[in-house]
Amino acid sequence: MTLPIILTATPCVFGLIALVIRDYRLRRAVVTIAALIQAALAVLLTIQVWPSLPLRITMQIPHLDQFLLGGELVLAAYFAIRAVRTKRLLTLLLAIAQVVVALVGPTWTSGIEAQTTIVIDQLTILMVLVIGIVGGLIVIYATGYMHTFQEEHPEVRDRRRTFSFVFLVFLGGMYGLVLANDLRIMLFFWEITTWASFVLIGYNEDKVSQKNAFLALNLNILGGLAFAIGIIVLAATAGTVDMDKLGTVGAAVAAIPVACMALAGLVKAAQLPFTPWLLGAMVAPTPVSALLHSSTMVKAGVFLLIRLAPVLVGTPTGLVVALIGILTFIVGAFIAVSRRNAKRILALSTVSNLGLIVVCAGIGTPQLIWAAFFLILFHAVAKALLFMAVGSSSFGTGSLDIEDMGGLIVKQPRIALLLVIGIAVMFVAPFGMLISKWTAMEAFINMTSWISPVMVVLLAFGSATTVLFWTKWLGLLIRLSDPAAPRGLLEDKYSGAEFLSQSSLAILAILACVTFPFISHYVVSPFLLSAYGQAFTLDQGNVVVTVLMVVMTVVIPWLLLTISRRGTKRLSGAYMSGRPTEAGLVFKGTAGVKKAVELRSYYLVKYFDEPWLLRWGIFLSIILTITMFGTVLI
Amino acid sequence: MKGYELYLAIAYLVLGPFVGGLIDGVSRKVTARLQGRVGPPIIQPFYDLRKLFSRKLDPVNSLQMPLVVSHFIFAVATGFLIFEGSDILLIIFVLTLAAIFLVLAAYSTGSPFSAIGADRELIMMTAYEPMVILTLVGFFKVAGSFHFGDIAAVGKPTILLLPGIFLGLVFVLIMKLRKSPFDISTSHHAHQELVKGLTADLGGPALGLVELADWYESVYLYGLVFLFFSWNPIAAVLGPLATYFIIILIDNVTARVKWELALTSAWIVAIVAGVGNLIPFYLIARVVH
Repeated sequence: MTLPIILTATPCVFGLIALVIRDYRLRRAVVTIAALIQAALAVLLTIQVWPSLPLRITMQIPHLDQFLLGGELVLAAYFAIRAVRTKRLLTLLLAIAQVVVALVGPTWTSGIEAQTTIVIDQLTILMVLVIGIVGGLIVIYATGYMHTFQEEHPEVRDRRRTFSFVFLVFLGGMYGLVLANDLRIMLFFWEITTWASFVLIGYNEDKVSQKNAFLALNLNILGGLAFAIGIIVLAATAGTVDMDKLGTVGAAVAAIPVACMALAGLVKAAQLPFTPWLLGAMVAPTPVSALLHSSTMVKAGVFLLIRLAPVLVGTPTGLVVALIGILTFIVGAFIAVSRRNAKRILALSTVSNLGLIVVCAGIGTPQLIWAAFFLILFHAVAKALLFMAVGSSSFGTGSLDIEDMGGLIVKQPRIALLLVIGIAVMFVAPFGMLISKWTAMEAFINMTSWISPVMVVLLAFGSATTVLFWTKWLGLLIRLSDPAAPRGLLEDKYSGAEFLSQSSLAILAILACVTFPFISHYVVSPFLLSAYGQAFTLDQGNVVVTVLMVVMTVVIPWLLLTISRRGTKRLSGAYMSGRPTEAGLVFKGTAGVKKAVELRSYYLVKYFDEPWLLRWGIFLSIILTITMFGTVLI
Repeated sequence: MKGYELYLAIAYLVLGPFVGGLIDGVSRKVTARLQGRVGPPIIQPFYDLRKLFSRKLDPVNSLQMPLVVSHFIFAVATGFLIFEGSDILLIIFVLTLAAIFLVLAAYSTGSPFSAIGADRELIMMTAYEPMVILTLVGFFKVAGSFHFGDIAAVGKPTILLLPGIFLGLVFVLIMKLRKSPFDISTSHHAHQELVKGLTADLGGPALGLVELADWYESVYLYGLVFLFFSWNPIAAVLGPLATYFIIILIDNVTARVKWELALTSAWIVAIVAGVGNLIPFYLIARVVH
């Protein structure tokens, strides 16, 4: 059973190859092949292990301790050197702390061997496929994007070889992370993703990029430290380093390690109060955002929390995690209303949706884990698509402001259509995300504890604002001020690689929406059954209604559009107070003055003020985090 | 699904426009009387609708009609599924979808009147949606179900258990039916600052479809009001009727507010009356279970 190791190693090996190839075309070919091969391996692994899930593999890895220690030290040394070079004391101290923990850790963990090295269940498979397919498509997209990016930004040093290398290693690190059951191995790959995101966020090498890269680094080293301490405490008190043993060591023993690891998960998942690192990460080139937000990094955080869910159920830690999640959910959704930068809106929406996944993990009933499963799936696909499409769009329009996306359906019809699909999957009933939200809502309503009304009310208000900012954006995209204008004027920089990867994701998104009952039945239910001893399935009637709605929502507008296109009748101008207008709603005023109509959307900044919301969100979540540790230490 | 529910849903499909049209006609008549006018005949809305449909279709762009028709289909489907006995919590999201289609139809025109109407309609959706969900939570706390038939057959005086929720729902109704003081996105009078706002660029059959969708919507919205009074046959008739006249009265005695007040007041009502009404259910939850 070497396939998991091959899967983890393949992207890394190809990354090393890409690092030494100077010729752009050759490197692009190699990277594309690497993306395809690793995706194929991910699928192959799925097919191979499918009949025997959950699969446990025990391996004797010689010199594992030394290898992991060496890896940790290399990473810490790299961080320390970067910190010294840029004179950042905090990062240096954190890196030193990392070294200390890595050195003293083996005192407790030595002699303790993981009984099971690798566990592959349906959750692992979900993650592997998301990393392989969504991650792979982002890699292909990045080859096209970075070429245009370097042309457009001559001031940025061309480090595309490093970029390809880190990008691919990132995927390898994610594979390792989701496959490992030995917590020490998992931690090593955890740190790999920290390193990769640090390098990628700082790609542009300007001041802001550096600052945000170090912010991400600081917080993630902190999370990594918590993770390491959690493992040490677990090893010292329970004598185990197995992830799947956490549930068997007893609640009292598990409390501190679980709280530490939950903290690590919250950092990676960019939950409050750690959210700023992900919001800062958007300075990086768009493929980096697409990767961080969809298939890697933040998904590692929620993956860990869902793994912890069985031990979080009913504990104070679980409760606090859930409260932090719902707080992040609503703060993210509220802030997004007042933002006009497309990448920032997407980032805030990620933060918000991850918050919901964290709630699901913190409360941890089978129904909520079901919802979390689908939230991960749909969010990964739709968010990757949205980031990629936004990035491609910005090359044509020269802007990331959604106000400049007015009428994109005419200027960039292909990109606009992809954006519409992505946005629809994010929030429109009856597509993916909404099914999960509805399931979560029903689960909250069914609970009897005091936390139920808190969750219900916050989810209701958060969802309402979600509708506001997505619909506003949709409305901008489809604005047809001048129906007769030539199509696709701003789409000439749209490369084949970009279009191919994005349309593949769009097709995947729609497929996932249509086939979700099967995914539920064949993937999620067996997982819940083996992990919780009870399954959750949607009510048959609701499945029928949902699938019917999916079909209606896709087919009806498309059908009607075809009909209305065919009968290209005379179109009358939009209402302009009865004044004569020219194409594109240009007013003919008095004395020959011509004025074009300019439209701006509402942002409700007064009510959804970012600094205020963020400040209070961070304040409250810090109290919650302290509470979490308070309850486990007392 | 209970036996009668499918018939109820079919009856809604067939009779919905007539009931909805009458609801509209009577409210115009009552409004006229309140203002000391004679007013149009009660069946005037049907004449209006016939005239709208007799006109030539005159779209502004190729997206507008598909979106309006989608709005109509999903608005009608929402009511059908509610009466047919589907999970209302799920269906409420279909209601949102219907509203989104109409907003998008207005956005697609690029006209400032339509666009600002669409913006305001969107803000109204944000304003009323939390309360809609809280209403369903309230029904669930009383009846233990999200199905129309179960809630209707609960046999308890729901209105007495959920007075705050009811108040909140009346707020939602005024917004959803676009009555004053919340007729900010479009109103029945073309003399507001946005002309017809949301529907400014719709004419003829397109406007007719939106009108028809509104009629269907008013039927299932009053269907939700009915759920508060369903335990007693007399209350079941008088309750929705009284609500209906109160809304007409409010429509006549209030002036249009700004979107700020619409949003904040709706949210405050949702939190104070809606959540305040729900809290006791959780406090006594252990006693009941």
